[in-house]
Amino acid sequence: MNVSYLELLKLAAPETIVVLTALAALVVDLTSTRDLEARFRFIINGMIACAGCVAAIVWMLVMPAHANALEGMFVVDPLTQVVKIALLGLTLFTVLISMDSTFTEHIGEYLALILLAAVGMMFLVSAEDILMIFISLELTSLSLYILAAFNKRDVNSAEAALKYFLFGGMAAAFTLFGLSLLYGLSGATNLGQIAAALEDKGLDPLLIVAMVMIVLGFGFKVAAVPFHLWAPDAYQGAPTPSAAFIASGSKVASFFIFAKVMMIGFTGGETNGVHEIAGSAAWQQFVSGWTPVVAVVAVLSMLLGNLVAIVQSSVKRLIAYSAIAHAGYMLIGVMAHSGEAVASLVYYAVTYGLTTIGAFGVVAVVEARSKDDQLASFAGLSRRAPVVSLCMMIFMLSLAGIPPLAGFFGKFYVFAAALKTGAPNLGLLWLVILAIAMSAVSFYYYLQVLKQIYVADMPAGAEELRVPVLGQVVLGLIAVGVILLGCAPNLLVGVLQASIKAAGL
Amino acid sequence: MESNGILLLVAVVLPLLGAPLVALAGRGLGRRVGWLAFAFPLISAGTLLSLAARIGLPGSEVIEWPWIPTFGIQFSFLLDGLSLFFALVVSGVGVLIFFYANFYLDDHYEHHGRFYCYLTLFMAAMLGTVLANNLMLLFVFWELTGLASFLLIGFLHHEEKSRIGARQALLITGFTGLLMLAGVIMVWLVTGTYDLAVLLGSGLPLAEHRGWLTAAMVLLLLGAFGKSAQFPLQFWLPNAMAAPTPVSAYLHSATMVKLGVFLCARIFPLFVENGLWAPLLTLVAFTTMLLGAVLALLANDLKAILAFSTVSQLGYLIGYYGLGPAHGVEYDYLHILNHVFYKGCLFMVAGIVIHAAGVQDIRQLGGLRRRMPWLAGVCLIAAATMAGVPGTTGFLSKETMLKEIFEAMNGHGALGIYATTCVVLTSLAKVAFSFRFFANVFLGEESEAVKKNFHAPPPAILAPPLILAGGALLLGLWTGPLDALMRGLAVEGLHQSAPHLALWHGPTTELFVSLAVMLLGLGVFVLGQRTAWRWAAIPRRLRFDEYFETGIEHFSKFTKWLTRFLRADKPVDYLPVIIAFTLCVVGGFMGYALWPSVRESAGAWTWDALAPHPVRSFVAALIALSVVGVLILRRWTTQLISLSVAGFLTTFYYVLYRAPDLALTQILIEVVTLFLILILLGRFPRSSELGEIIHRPSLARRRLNVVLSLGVGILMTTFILWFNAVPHPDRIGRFFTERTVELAEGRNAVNTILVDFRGFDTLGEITVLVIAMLGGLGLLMRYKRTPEEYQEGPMGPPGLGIKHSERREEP
Repeated sequence: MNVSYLELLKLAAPETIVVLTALAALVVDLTSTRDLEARFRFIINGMIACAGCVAAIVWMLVMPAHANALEGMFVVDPLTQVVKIALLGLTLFTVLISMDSTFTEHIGEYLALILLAAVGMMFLVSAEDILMIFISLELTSLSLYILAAFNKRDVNSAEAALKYFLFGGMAAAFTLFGLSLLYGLSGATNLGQIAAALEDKGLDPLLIVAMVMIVLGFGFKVAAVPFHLWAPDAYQGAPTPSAAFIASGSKVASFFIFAKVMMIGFTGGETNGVHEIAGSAAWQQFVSGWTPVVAVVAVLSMLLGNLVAIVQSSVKRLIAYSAIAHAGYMLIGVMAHSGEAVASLVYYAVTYGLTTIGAFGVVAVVEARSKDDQLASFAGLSRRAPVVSLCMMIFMLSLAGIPPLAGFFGKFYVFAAALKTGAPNLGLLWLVILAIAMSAVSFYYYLQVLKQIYVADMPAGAEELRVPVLGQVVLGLIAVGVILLGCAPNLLVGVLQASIKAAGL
Repeated sequence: MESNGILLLVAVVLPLLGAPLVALAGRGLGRRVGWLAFAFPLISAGTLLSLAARIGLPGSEVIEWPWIPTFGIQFSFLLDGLSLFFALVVSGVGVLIFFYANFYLDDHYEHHGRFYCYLTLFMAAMLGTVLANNLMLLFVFWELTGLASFLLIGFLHHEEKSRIGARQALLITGFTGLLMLAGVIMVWLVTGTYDLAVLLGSGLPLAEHRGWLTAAMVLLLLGAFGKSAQFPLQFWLPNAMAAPTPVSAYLHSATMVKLGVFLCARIFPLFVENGLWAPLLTLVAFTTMLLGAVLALLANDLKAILAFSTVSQLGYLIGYYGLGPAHGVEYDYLHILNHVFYKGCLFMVAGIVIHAAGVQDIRQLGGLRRRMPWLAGVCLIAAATMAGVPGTTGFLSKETMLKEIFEAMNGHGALGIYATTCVVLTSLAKVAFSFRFFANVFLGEESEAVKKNFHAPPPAILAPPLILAGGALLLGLWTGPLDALMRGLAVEGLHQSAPHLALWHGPTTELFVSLAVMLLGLGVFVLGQRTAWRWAAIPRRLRFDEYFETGIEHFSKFTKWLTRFLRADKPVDYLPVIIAFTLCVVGGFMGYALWPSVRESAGAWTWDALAPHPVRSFVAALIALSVVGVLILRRWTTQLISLSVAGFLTTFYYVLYRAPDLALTQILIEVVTLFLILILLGRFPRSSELGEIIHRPSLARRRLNVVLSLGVGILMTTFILWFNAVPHPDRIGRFFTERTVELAEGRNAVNTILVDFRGFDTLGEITVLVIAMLGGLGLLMRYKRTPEEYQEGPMGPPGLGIKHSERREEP
């Protein structure tokens, strides 16, 4: 195996840039800005972090690459580039919305961890080898556990992190078990080779276990029922920007790699138009395989996420449960396992991530003043902070899937891809109808938030909420992005489709 | 082409973009902003009229801009008779309503800017919906109308009634709209296009995809039923009347609720051949029609009477397409226009009456003819139109309706008879409540409430209802323009050429039936007057909205219960959930996938295969015993030691298999782990252990744990048996044992693997372990508990406690 390290470094340049930025932020904070006021430190180091992200994005835009290094250990193609750019964008926004926070004095460490988590996600996106997948998954998870615990003054933060960590450790163990079984069955770690080795084996019982374990591991990462238990507590307890990052970046990367593993690794031979290992979850035509497993998880997530979100009184918990529900919708995209479906999934995940960061940004603004994230604290917000309220309305309506916002188009795209897989049999229609019914339910709780903001009376003695200009600009940018991606989805979809064609999925 | 495009943009997009400006302007202008907003419907109506003149009806034209070309979703509009008819109705009625609202919404109301913003937005969305050529675009505008309607119904949001009405409307129209989206996507999957003009031109492949397209049709029609308030979803419409009267007149009688009718007309040529089309539409729509009429007869609220009669008429309009012959319908425009005339007018009259008298219960009204003679005249014409008195469009509509329904009886058998019965009964009720509406408001003695509250409306407010009533009367007498309209706007596939309308067709069956209905209706009215309408009240059994609200309430209770039931705040609850899921899914799959082969091989299997080895069985029994010890013992340390006894016994097993070095490794690991955990446990406060002993999990929980553990055991056993049953043909161990002497010059393969073959791995592992140990050491040395902390009492149940509302208080 001949490896040109220079070539490899060039391929991994964006990751390298981000790692270096992380170190730079750390060093600058520890050496030169230590004595400054926390706000300035945040701004200086945050700018360094942003510059790093932008540099990496620019690198990827300027130097398009298409290569497969070390037999799938590190794959770079247009699709991974798009996803990485999206991830870096989400990282950028996370950094920007954390600039006004006051929960920590370890600013360098905090930013470095965000960037390292982003690096983990980027490697995850590029991995087509189960070893590499596991390592990147762990790099991401470990950084995120610490990010969740970052508010050391708050017991809830520690608790959130502990729960996230315990559950995550457990899930990682299960995943590792599944991956090693997979290796045992196929004798390969590369996804393509695994698929080739499994081709004529059919649905081995060990394969079933491996499959379920892997679904379980990814199910934890994307917070799908029944592996969601950590999510509400972690979202609520963790510092808001950390929660935003867990809910957005981590989700995009996990869904992407989930779909990739399932689509490349678990296809197998085909009989009667049904992949033997994938199986089928079509109505009255169930064929065992991984899609029915994912279907079960998706149905449970949609039902539970939406139903339980209704009764939440904490906005962060509400977003957490709605995240669970959205994971359910996205799992439908995973099940469809076609090139089209991957495009829809990435579109959905990216727009969802963007919207969620925005929503968390608004929560952070309110939290900074009222010290909690209860629905009641949002009462009359429209009169206290009109711009922020307008942004929140856009985010909530987009999450609810109201046209012509990005959330609507994401849903439409995923459902269309799912229906297309089954056409012209009724196929996954039952799932799509369920998803539609559940998104109608979700109107209820998103409107609940808006009702508080726009209709409910201001609490007595409330004054105007002073929102920093930077915060308003960032939230406004995100809102514009959500509208733009909804009104002109071709901006992203065109790129995605072209890159999927180029990547050959 | 180019200029047509610009005209279209002016008609549709200008109000869409202008709506937010209206809201902004409202801050400065206050009430006067209404006149600014009044410009939008005027402009739209004007441009649409000129568009209609330019495209040369009955032709059609598609105007298109790219939007999302990858999906075939274009910003594309179809201008043909049907779409222009609806667009003109929307903008024309819009002109009247905006004018009317300027007088209706006086200074008692607040936020005029917001109101006109919503109203303008609504009009733009309506125009977009009816003109859209792309089904996705249609859906987007469709949902936008629902949203605008929600905002308008909830405009007076400090009133409970408004909020409930708005919520019902949004839930029902929003949800059915989403179902329609599924239908749209399904049509796209079969045909590959969203383009209505293309679809109408080429038709649907009904024969090849019967099931698929039937499902799509049902979904599309559900969308229409939701929007047009069809049975059993009809209840949202009367409750939507909580909105200010101009809104009721505009959205909930003249335009938005007709979107369902519009959709049925639009897809009529596509689906009329489908076997389910006629029965579905007929049964649902005519049931709605009868139910609406009966409820309108029983209602006492002015607006409720009109709302229920709207429901009834919508039922008829939709059912009309259901019974229509496959080659096209004839008089749909007449029926729609007729309804627009009288219902818009009556709503406005009702609004003026409510505004002037301050009451809207019909039993408290009366004698208003003296105070408002002009209004009484207008109302008389409108009510007569509703009742179908000769000389009005209502009469024409009823005559053709009866004629067509009699024809349908021949064509559709039982369905036709059902429809006829519904139509006749409805007409009867309609006559009765039309007379009641006029007589009880304007005739008779002036009531106390009126005397007390009356204040005269501004005269200009009379203009819009007067125009509508005038239209009903003029066109009813002089049918030429109507004929021309229907001919000019006819759409191929939907319409067939109709015979000329005339006031007098000679002594036909329809005429006699019509007369009989009129007389009977009058009879009911007289009966009602005699009994002072004491029996007029809506029975609880027909209050579908109450069912709905109860359903919502129970739903929210259910979600609360579910949340509490499924809450798992404690990390100790995580493992059972995951394991249960794994067991269910894996077990289920194994059962499903493997059961046949297991049954097959069951015969060949004997006990001899398991012939137990005495020493090994003994060791296994000891291991089992120590595991039971873990379960029974309570103290952490004893549990731990018992568990490691199981580990030590496992080394015996290795010895029995002649693997002493493996046994040695196992002993080492076991000892290290035991010490490490014992050290850690020593640092825990005693209280936490006590807490666990005191707060034992419930019996059910322990039973669940037993079941889960046994399940995992069984599953793992099955795997091991399975795995050993099919040995791998090329074991990796063979490579090492064969080459250990040659390459590593050592006989012990385990040792050579660790230090030679995988030397780097071992080095890495050791490094990692050292780093981890240093980190652990650092953590352990950092913090020591004080003696006071050790002496604290039990800390409560294990687990952590984030404070959140859904947690029940612990007793």
